[in-house]
Amino acid sequence: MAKTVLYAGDGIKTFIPQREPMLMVDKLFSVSETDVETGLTVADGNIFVENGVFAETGLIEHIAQSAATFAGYNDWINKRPIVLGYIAEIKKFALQAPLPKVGDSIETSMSVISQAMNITLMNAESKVNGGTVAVCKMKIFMDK
Amino acid sequence: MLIKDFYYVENHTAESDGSHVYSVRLNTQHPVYQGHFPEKPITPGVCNIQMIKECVEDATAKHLTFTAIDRCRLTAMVTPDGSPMLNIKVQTDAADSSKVSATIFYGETTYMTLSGTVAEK
Repeated sequence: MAKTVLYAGDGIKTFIPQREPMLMVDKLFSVSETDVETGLTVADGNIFVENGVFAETGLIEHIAQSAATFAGYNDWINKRPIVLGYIAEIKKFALQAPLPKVGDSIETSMSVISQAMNITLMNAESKVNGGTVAVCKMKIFMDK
Repeated sequence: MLIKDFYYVENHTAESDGSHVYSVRLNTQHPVYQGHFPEKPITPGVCNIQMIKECVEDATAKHLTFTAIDRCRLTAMVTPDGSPMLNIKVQTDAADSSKVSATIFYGETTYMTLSGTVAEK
């Protein structure tokens, strides 16, 4: 059964400052103060696609922007300005299946491990068709 | 190069310790900066990782995928206007060539350190 989508396409731009050709989230499925579920359907023209395959660096950017969507949504719902967020650290990234291909829908779930000042550490898991493609921990710095 | 014309390699030296240092110049006019970010061009961290991978590909003459990144730290922000020149030092482990370590630096500044594992595509 298809998941309920809260925001899609341009609706995501409310929460994150990234724009084309660097926009790597196109769906927000669910979000809370600790968790987020996002999605990206890999388009043919995506700049991280080569020979029909979505590069691991594109997947990492998608995960980073999922964290940004999480932070941006929580800022938006609390009427705070949306700020720029940057990757501070990537830990234990592991590819567990072949990389996504053009047309694949990536679904990513993330949850907060710890939060201190402007730094948030999150766990991430990205799936395609229910199978885990990659996991990692990511530390995001919010430029507040 | 995955992202066409993102940077240009200006120099490459193979060091006696087995490492390779690539001096690259960023294309400050690249369309990536229109989206990252519209009012503040900042080189995406993943583009630094991509440049590291492409330097390892050049050094090893293989097409590679990062199957694991144990740790990657972004210690300073790369911006096309502030740091258009970068040195990318890559090294594969002598005992296990799938193990890669890399540093992006210029002058006194270290921008990124990475340790990871690659596999042939």
